[in-house]
Amino acid sequence: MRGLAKAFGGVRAVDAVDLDVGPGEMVGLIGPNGAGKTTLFDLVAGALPADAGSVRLRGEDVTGKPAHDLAQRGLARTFQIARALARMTVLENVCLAAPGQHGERVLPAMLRTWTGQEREVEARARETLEFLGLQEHADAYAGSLSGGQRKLLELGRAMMLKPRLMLLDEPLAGVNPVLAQRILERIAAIRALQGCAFLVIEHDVESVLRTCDRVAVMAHGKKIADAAPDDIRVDRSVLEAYLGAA
Amino acid sequence: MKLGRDARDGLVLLAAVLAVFGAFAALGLGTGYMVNAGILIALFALFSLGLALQFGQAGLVNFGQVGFAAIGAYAVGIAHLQGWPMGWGVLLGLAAAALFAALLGIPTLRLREDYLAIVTIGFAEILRIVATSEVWLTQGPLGIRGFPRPGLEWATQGAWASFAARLGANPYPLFVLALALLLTGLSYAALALLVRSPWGRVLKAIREDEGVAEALGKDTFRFKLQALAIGALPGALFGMLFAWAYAQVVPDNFTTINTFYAVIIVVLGGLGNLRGALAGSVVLWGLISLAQVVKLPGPLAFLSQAGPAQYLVVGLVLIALMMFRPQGLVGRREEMLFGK
Repeated sequence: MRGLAKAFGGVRAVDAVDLDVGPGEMVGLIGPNGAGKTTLFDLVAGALPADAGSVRLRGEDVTGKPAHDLAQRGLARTFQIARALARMTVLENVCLAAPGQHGERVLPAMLRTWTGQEREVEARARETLEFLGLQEHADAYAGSLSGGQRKLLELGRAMMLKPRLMLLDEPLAGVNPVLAQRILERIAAIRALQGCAFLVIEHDVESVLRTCDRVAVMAHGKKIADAAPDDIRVDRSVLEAYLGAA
Repeated sequence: MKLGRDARDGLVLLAAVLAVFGAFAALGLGTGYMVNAGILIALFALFSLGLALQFGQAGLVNFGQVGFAAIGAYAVGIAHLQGWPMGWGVLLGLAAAALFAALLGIPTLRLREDYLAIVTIGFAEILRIVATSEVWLTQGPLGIRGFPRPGLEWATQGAWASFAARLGANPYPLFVLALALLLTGLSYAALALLVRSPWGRVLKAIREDEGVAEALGKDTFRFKLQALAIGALPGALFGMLFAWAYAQVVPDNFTTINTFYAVIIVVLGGLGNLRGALAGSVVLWGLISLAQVVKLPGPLAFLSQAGPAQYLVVGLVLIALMMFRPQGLVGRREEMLFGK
């Protein structure tokens, strides 16, 4: 992404941010509350229109494309507060995410020519749930899941898209330590399995520094640092952003 | 014994039908009355099926369903005035309903959900006013009469007529009842196929959280537009059947209250389950039909005397039913828990 910007009224939430994520790379995005991290995600994922700047995905300019188009092109995202589709089952939540479903068009839907593909989709969804340890909840309403389980469910939905890049917005927030450990492990496993790149917002800075290849830091809408974890640990401007200028 | 959902819904529907028609029989009402009540029940079930798809499945607030009924009815009537065959009128009505749904949807479905409600309620009222005032096209408040009705000749002679005579019913209303039941059944079957497909799954996802559906690669605008247009079709069919049943097309038949009957029906029946439209219609029109003939005893007698007071009784029973079963007759209690 290049020169990405978004203002809400007079607040420059995201101010000319450049950021690259290489193929298969895991990049952390940290910064104090209100730094503009989630807004940056919304801009990249097409949930909000950018005021300026451009986004390229696998070399293609995708600036201003709608969210569903980006998702089809290999960009998956999860949300800060996990958004489970509450009155659908866990299995339905995951099946929904499978791309290229023939039965999502009206005529094939009525003619039931989709049942063969649906068996494959369901098999993949059950595999995904098993991978995440949610298989026992497959037939429960997603609304009955705990906060951490919802985070896992979102990961599952994102996996079904077979994305090239996953944007994870605070995958560990509000999750108990045991489940958080499982989520971290599963993210590493997805990376090994699907080879997709990650851009991760997380307030648990220690986890980010431990697991990411590179860490970008935002404050007041600007990117103030972008370096290897070890360099971030000792970066003065980062400390100032978190603790206030000395 | 634990029943599956299909069996349970079927039993609820059967119980509602038996209760309503059993009450008719107990009150000594004749076959003619039952046929007329049956026509209303079947017609409003059909009408409400469209709303069950749009509102119950996709979360689209369409307050203009009666407008699509007006389009269907006037298509049949105007085709007659123009000297076109009845079949053309039917096709014209269905096509026009889908087209108008798209015209309403294109500007509103990208906006916040309440805009659709405002636009659709305005659309239905505008149509009714146009039908009242554009006399050259619609014959105004006097309406259109004398158009051909399907099966009129066939039903009033021969085997069907003698079958109706044996039941003690007028042959043509009985035929309309059969036709309405058939079309309601077919529409239900078609919509049920859609709802239980991946297409229907996307609709539910939109109802739950449109942003998530978008983030998962679904072009939610397309799905919402399709749901709106498809849900308009049973509305148009209702309009045509209504015209055939009562042999007239007048603007007063298409007031907004009818849309709200449909809203009551889908909520009473249970949102999120297409069968709610069927069960809800049986109960609502059963109650209304009963309220018109039941004479309440003693100090409550005044409630049975005037039309508005009869509706008061219907309202009280509906309130009681919703307190007893907030999820609706065939709704899912679990879905109530996780609602927004």
